Amino acid sequence: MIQHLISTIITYLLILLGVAFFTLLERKALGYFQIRKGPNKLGIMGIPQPLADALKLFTKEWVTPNFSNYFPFILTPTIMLILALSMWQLFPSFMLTSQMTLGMFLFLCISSLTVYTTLMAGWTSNSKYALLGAIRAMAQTISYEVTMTLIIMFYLFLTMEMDIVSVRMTNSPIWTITLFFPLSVMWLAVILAETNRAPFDFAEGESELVSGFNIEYGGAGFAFLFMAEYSNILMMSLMTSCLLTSTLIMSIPVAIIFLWARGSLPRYRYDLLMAMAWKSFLPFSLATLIALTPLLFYF
Amino acid sequence: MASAGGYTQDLPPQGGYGPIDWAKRIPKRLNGYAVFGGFIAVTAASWTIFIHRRRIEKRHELEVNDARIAVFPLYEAERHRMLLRLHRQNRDEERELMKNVPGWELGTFYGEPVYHNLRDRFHHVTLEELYAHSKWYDMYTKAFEKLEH
Amino acid sequence: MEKVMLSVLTACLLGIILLVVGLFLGVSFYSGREKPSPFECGFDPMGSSRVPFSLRFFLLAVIFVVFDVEIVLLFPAVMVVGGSWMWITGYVALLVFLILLLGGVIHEWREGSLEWEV
Repeated sequence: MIQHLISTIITYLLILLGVAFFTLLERKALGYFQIRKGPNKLGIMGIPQPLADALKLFTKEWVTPNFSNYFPFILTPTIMLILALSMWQLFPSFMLTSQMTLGMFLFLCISSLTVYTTLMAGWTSNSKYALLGAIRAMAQTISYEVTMTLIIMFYLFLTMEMDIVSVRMTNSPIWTITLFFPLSVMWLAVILAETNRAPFDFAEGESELVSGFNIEYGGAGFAFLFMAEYSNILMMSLMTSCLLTSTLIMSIPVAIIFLWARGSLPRYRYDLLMAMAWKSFLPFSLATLIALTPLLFYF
Repeated sequence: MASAGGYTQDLPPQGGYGPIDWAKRIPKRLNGYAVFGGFIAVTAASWTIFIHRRRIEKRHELEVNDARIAVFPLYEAERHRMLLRLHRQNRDEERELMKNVPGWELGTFYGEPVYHNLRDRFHHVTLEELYAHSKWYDMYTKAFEKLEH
Repeated sequence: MEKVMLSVLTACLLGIILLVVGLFLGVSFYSGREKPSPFECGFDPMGSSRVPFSLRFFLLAVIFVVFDVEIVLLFPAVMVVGGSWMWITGYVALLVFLILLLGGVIHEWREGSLEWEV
C-alpha cells in the first residue's frame, strides 16, 4: 500500500511538471507555426518559462465576481484538477501495483465527470459568456462521449479485458491502428472534441465568447483549469498510444498533433460539429462494431 | 539573454529576412484506387496476423488452464493438511489450558460438541473459533492474505 | 478498490494544498465597484446571467442519456465476447442489440431530433 502511495505521489508530481513543460512546448510550437519565436528570454532559452508563469498566476489576485456562488466558484477548478490528476493512476506501466481490472471503466467515468466541472465553472461565475461557453462545452462533450465509448469498445472487444495493460498488450502481434485505419482517424477527431481543443474549441471560442467558460477565472483558479486541460490532453494522448499502438512513446506524436491542429486548422462550425458527432461518427462506429461481431465468432 | 550587459533586443538577421513564401502549394494527389487498394491490403494483412496470433494465444491459455486443473487436487490436499494440523494444535492447546477444570471434556463446551454436528459429523468452525488460540492479527493476516494477492 | 480510493484521496490532498496556497497568495485586498462585476465587454452587466437556454441542448442531453444507457448495457459483452464461453446465440443477441441501436440512430435522424436548425 505504501508503495502504491509513493508511486501515486511521484506520478502526480511528474504529471504536473510534464503539463508545465507541455505548455512551453505549445507556446514554442505555435510561435514557429506563426513564423515567430516563442518564449526565449527567461533563463536559458526560456526553458523555465512555465515555472515563471505558474508563479505569476499563483501570486495574482483571485477576484470572485458579484453574485457568483462563492464556494462552487472556488472549488470547481480544484475539482477539475483532482479529476484530471486521479485519471493518471491508470498509467499503464508493468508495475504490479498499477494493475487495475476495470481500468477502462475508471477512465470513462472520470472523463465523463469532467463535464460537470466545466458546467459548474460556467454557471457559478454569473457571466453570460461563461454560461454560453459552458453549455456549448457540455453538449459537445456528451455528444462525443458516446462515440468515444463505442470506439474504445471496438478495441476492448479485441482485448476481452478492461485492464489498460491488457489493452496495451493486445497490440503486441500487430498495432491495432492497422486493423481499421478510418476508426483511428475518427478517434483522433473524437479526442480533439472531447478535450475541447482547437479546431473544436467552442467552449472558449474567442471570436464569439471572449474566453468561454473560464472568463471570470484569474490567478490560481485559471492555473488549475489550465493544468487540468493540459493534463487531460496528455492523458488522451496516452490512451491513444495504448489503444492504437503498443509503445507509450507514441503518445508524444499524438500530443504534438493536438498542437499542430491548433496551429493550422480554422475553427469548425457548431451545428456541423453536432451533425458530425450524431450523423456520421455514431452510425459509423456502430456499424464497425456490427461488422466486428461475426469476425470475433470466427476467432 | 540576461547577460552582464543586460537585455538584448532580438533583431532580424544580417541582410534582413528572406522572401516570404506565400505561394499556395497544392500537394500531389494520390490515385484514389491505389489508396483504397493499399488500405484494403493493409487491413486484410493485419487481420490475418492478428487472428493467427490470437489463436496461438488461445491455445497457450488452454494449456495453462489444463495444467492448473491438474495441479488443483494437490493444492487442495495441502490446504486440508494445514487445516488438520491447525485443529490438532488447537486440541493440544485446549488440553493444556483446561487440565485444571474438573469435568471438562475435550472438544465440547459443557457437554455440547463444538466440532461435530447433530449427526456426529465433522463440521467447519467459524474463523474466530479456529484461530482462538492465536493472536487476533494472525487470524486476519491468514484470512485476508488470499485477498491481498 | 482501496488503491483507487488512495489515489483519488492523494489527488484531493494535492488539489486542496494547491487551492489553499492559491487562496492564500491571491487574497484580494481592494475591491471596488467595477472590479468584481462580471465581464461584459466593459459595460455594466445587464439582466440576470442565469437565463434559460435553448431547448435544443436539453433534447440533445436526453438523446445522450438514451445512448449512454444502451452502451452501459453493452459493456458486459466485453468480458465474454471472443472467448470460449460464448455460444453462437450470444453473438446473435449481441448483433441484434447493435442493429437495434443503429436502427435507433436512424430513427432519431428521420424524426429530426439530430438537426440543429433553431
